[in-house]
Amino acid sequence: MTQFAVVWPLALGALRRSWPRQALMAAILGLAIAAYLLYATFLTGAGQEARLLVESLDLPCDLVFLGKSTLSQAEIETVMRNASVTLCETARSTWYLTAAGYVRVLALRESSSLWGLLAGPGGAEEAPPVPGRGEVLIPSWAAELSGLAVGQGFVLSPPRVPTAGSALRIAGVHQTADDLLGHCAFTLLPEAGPAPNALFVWMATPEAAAPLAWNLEQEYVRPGRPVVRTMDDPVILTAGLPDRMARSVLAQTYLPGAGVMMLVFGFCGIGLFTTVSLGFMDRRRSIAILKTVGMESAGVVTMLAVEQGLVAVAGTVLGSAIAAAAVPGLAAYFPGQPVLLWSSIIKGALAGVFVLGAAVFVPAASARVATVNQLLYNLPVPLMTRRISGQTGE
Amino acid sequence: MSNLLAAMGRATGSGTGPEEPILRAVNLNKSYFLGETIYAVNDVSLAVAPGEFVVVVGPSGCGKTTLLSLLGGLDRPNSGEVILAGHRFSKLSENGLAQLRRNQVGFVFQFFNLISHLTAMENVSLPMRFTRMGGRAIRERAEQLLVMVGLAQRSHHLPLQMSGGEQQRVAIARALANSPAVVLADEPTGNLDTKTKAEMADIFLRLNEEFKQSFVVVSHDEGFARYAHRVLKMRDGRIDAVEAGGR
Repeated sequence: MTQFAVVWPLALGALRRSWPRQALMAAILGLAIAAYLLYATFLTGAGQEARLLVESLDLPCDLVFLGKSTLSQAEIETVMRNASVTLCETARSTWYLTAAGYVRVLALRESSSLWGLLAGPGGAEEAPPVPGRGEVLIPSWAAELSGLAVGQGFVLSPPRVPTAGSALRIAGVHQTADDLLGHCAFTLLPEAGPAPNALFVWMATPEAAAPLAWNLEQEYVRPGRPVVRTMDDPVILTAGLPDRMARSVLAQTYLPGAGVMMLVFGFCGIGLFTTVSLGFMDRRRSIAILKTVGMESAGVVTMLAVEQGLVAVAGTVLGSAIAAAAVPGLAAYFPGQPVLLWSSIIKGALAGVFVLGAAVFVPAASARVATVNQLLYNLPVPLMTRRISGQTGE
Repeated sequence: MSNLLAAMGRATGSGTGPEEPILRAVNLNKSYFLGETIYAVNDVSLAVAPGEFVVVVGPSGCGKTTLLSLLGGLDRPNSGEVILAGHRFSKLSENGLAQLRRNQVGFVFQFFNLISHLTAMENVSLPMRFTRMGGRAIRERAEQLLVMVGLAQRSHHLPLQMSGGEQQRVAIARALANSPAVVLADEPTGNLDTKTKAEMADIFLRLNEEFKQSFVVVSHDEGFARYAHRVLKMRDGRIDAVEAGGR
């Protein structure tokens, strides 16, 4: 027990003395954890969004493409000209948690013809007004559920572009009969905002939609982006439960990222191992002194573990902070609603502890079995090769 | 000082009497392979009685430091045995050796080997922190030891804030922390100026005379011999001659 009580001040002192190196290690680890958290955050968010999307897949249109569409307005016009489509629209489609539960918000361009399809409250013929910047049209069911009225704020969680704010002013209520549009809230898509992530194509018949779907997928959708078709596509409809479909969407988009994550952690592991090993070389003398005055092997290992454990904590805090700060900015460029979970942070911290543990294992094992003289006089120590230099004992 | 004397009451011999040796080495051998086999210590046997002051002298590279490392359990011999206070080193694990060093051996090195981020008080306390001593008892004993080596006013200074002589005094206080059976000193004055050398030698002499502390001192400087009961002269890894010291 005495061995363990004494390691804390020694570990803290050593950390204080070598703080630039330790800060570098915490930064490397922090960046790796931040990368992991961003990956996990968008993966979780995309998973939730994909599941919600599939659950609500009751659309009047024949085709829905989701993901970062590369279609420009000119390309859309080409599609419309070459295929007998009745309507073709792009939108930014995002699910938000609101006072009325999960609501899909479609951000449309001001010139969108979809505005003309919306009906006023009570099924009135007259379309509700197009909302301005920072405003939203909500469906009547959402107004009833939330108890909110025109002029009040409609809070979206979490806030992200293109809504430009977490609370949009309710400009009006619509009661559109269409199954898709009737369940959505509408806001204005800023011209300089992120690319639309959905393309809706209305076709006369499912048979007509099939070749267009193939053509769109081949010509315009980037490989790896999720493509969800309507109920008219038997492949999707018979694919199984929403969760399975959501996993399929995630697999297309995010699983290649797992390889990148392994590379990130691999490089971090190599960097940390090198840093810890160099630190151990620098500390051979102090470890030798401690062993000389009676510190046992367990004390040496605990001291090194405590030092690196504190670095791991600092790295986790740093990584979490970086991830939390980066999520809103990156939300515009990744599909899916970002959801930062505590479980992701804990997993990230555990991964960090594992990487650091692996990095500290060889130096700690080496320090444990080396004799004092090997450490003190710079002789080769077990597990770690080191050229003989300086004094080798007389 | 009487408290300190009581605390250091382990060594009680006259220094030259026929008592059981506190430290014994039997046929010690240590060699290194550096392209060719170098015999640093070659079939060395010796015994140190309680309260005895032994000085080992010899030219550079004759194996003095290696011998001291083997006597203190800092290194393992290729063959032979070291017995300290009844404990055979060959029977001890690395942890067993660490415990023995903690309780029975004090070390003083040429380059002091203090922990740089610990104060003088903390450095002296360090060996005691690995024992079951309470915090207050550790503080009191560390203060007594620092007073004894004349550093009461420097107890909260870091090693870098002290002169070489002061650092070596801290190292001596640390070596005495757990009332060791023997203090092993490797060129303790090798890095000090002439005046400080004399002060350091006086401290060693006083500890030996007043507290019957056993010493094995390795020194390049044969002047140290006048403080010793016995002088061992080493050459090429062997003890070449044993002479009476200046006391």
